[in-house]
Amino acid sequence: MNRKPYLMLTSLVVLSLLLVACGTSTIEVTREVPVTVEVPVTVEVPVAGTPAAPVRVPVVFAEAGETLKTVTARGRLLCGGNAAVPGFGYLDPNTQQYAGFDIDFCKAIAAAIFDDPEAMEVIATTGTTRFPALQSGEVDVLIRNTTWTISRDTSLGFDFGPTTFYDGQGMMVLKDSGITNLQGLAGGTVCVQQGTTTEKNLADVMRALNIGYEPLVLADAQATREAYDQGRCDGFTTDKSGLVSQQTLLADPSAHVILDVTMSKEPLGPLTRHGDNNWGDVVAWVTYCTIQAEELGITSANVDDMLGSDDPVVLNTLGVEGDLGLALGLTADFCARVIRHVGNYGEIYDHNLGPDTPFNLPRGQNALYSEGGLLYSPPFR
Amino acid sequence: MTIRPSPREGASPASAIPFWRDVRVLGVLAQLAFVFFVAAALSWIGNNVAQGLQALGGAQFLCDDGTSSFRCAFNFMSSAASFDIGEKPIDYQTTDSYWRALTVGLLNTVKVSAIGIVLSTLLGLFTGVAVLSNNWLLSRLAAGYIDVIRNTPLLVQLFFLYFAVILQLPPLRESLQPAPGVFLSQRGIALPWPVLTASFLPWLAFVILGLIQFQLMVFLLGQRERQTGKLSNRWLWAPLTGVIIILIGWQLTISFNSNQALLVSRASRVAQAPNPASGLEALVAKRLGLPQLTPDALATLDEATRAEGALQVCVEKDSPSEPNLAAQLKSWNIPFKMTRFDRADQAGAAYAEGACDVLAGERTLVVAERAALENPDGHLLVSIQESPVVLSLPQLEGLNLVGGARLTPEFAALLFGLVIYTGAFIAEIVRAGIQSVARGQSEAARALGLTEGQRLRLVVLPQALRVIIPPLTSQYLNLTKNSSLAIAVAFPDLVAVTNTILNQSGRAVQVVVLVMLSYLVVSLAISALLNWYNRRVALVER
Repeated sequence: MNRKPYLMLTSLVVLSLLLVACGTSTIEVTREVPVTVEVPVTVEVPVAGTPAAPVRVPVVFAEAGETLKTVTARGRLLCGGNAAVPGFGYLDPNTQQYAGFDIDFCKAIAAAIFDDPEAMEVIATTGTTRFPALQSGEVDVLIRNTTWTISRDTSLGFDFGPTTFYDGQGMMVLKDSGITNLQGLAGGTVCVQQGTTTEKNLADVMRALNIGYEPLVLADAQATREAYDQGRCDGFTTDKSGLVSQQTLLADPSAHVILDVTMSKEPLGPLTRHGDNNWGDVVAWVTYCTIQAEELGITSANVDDMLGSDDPVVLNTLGVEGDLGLALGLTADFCARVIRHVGNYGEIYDHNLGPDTPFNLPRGQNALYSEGGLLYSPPFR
Repeated sequence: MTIRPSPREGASPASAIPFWRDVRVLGVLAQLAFVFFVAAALSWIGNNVAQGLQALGGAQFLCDDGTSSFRCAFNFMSSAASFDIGEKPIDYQTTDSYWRALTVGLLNTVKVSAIGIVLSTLLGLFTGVAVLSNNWLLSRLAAGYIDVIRNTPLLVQLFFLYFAVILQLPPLRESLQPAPGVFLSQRGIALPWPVLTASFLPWLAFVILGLIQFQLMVFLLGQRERQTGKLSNRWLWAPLTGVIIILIGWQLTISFNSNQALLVSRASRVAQAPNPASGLEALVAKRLGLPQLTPDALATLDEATRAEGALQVCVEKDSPSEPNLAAQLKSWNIPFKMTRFDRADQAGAAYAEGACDVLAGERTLVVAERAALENPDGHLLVSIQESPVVLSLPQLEGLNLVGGARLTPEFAALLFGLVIYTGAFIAEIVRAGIQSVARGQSEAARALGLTEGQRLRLVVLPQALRVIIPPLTSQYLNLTKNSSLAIAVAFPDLVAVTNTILNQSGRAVQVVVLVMLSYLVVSLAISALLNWYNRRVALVER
């Protein structure tokens, strides 16, 4: 069959040129080279009681304290992340580095444990692979715009940390389609990503409103956006934060509009395996630390000055007084480390989603409780 | 009886060959070791799965009574799926169970595989023959196709086909219309499609009667020809009489059925009209505020007036009543507007609220809706003719097309992707099969004066088939399994649907087991069928 190798070669070249021209490229998933730094850490694992398993069901969960030991021994944190949502978890094609809001919380945990935000590795997961990755222990913590639901919390065997981002499902349509509400989509096609709560929400909301529609379920965020951008769908639904981020990647972002409807509550936050309460606490309090720091006005710029503050609340939070961190199995100054390397919640938000970014996403519910939002940290004492 | 070693050999045979050099003993030991390793590997895998499941906790196997047991591993499949599926060969709603969702996915897989197998066989056969053709251009083109397609991954081809070819078609509103009623756009291809109505079965009897008449005429006239030697025009008379019977049957079934009916208010002028056509004309006239409308006057109305006076019809979506009434109203030149409802009772409710002038549907249905009205006597049933077969035409309505048959871009991309890919492999198998037939056979066929077509059809292919069938079986299985790439082009096949089930329920092991079993069943069915066929075409050896 290879009597005419030139013909074959030419056809291949033509085909590949076409492919390149049409831009159906796939994201290359490159893992960051992990920087391992040996930090002497005294780990005092508090003796937690047997995991409080619900009665009747014979449950064997992750062993208490196991994950932190594993992470410390490994020398770096493995985070389940996203590679395709700019602003939240995105593999920057220029720098080949992961960046985003979720990624920064990974860095915060790494900073709390190792005093080095880079002592972590992001494992890119898709909507479908993220849960098995955490269940199997391939990653230590999953921070990948994942909605906190009762079924995920219970039957999947996970524990959710504090919500880092209060989101809601939205719908994007073409501006000149004249669609202003969900009823306008009757009979139309809606692009939705597989393996997300949005797929079920969409079905539930449309059923409640008695709107007939056709779903087009795609494998990942990129394919979903591509199909919508090409005009295959009348609507594109995902969390509003996701829509804002995907809009920047459309061919003509200004031609699209996000409808003023919120189809669901989507509290997004970090997940750990159920049973290792200590590790769950570490993730939770690192997150709270960023919120607490914003409440107290501690930023990455002034954290070292704040170490000499007169306010006992600040001193407790930063570990100058007391040893709150030790009970977590971390150091007393874990929160100071987080703020020094990554910054407080407001800094993380502004850096990834704030006015200086293409998204310019208003804080909305993600403001401090004192400013009308939902963010509230339990006290550090 | 014991066998004593012969003293002349000096030693017994057993002691002459130590057991570790005895081939039979070694053979047994090797087999034992093999069995041991296989068993160990299997138990290791099984153990891993069991441990993993246990680590996930008892919630994975929750029974209805709240206990946890392996027996209940698949109980979750009975709960409501609550997600939508884009293409469904059978009726499916979000309130149906996961089992039904799985069935929809499986049927989609079977559908694309079955059509794919037929088309790829045709393509492969043609290309395989073309490669060996004496026509230089044809054979080079075919060879080029095979080489390019065989040496690039299917996933890349699917992406290319879907995103770079099909989705680049014009948007729905600017659809290409290569023929009347045919829409080609990035929302897929829509074609006019015949819909069978309730009176199709009676008509089918006439069709069969017509065919029997045709056969009978051919036979009887042929016999007379042979007996008398007088030529008769049997190829004229046989089909003619057959068609006449079928046409008479068509008219009879139309005249003598009362399946379709309309519901109109008694207060409207339809009640006084001598026939449905003039009654509906009167309704249009009333809408326009005219005393009456003759058919001639109707024909001369302009577009705006037609739209204004359009008869408002409520009808169930995808029921045969809709295209049947549409064809009827078109023949009467009556302007109309159909409002389609997912269910018949929704259409009835809309009629009750006065949203439309007319409720159309099958008689039993309309009677039931009439009985449900507050004032049944205030409404009148009007019989409408029903053709055994009506043509449903695709029409643009709202954001989508309704009516006709639609081929979605996703299905088209997957189908053509699989056909083009597998066709290249089948072409190679066909080529090899043809080349395996001894050259002498072809030469003998030519010497007998067979045409090239006859040579291929009667001499070469039947012999090549024996070589072709076994590898063809594995290509068919490949096509079926490759259809699992469907999610890449958003087609809801088995894998796509079960991925969602897995994600919603979190029961990875159970769902994967179900997927594997489903593919196993489909694959075994295909290979059983082809093995049976293979036995039929194989050389009979004695």
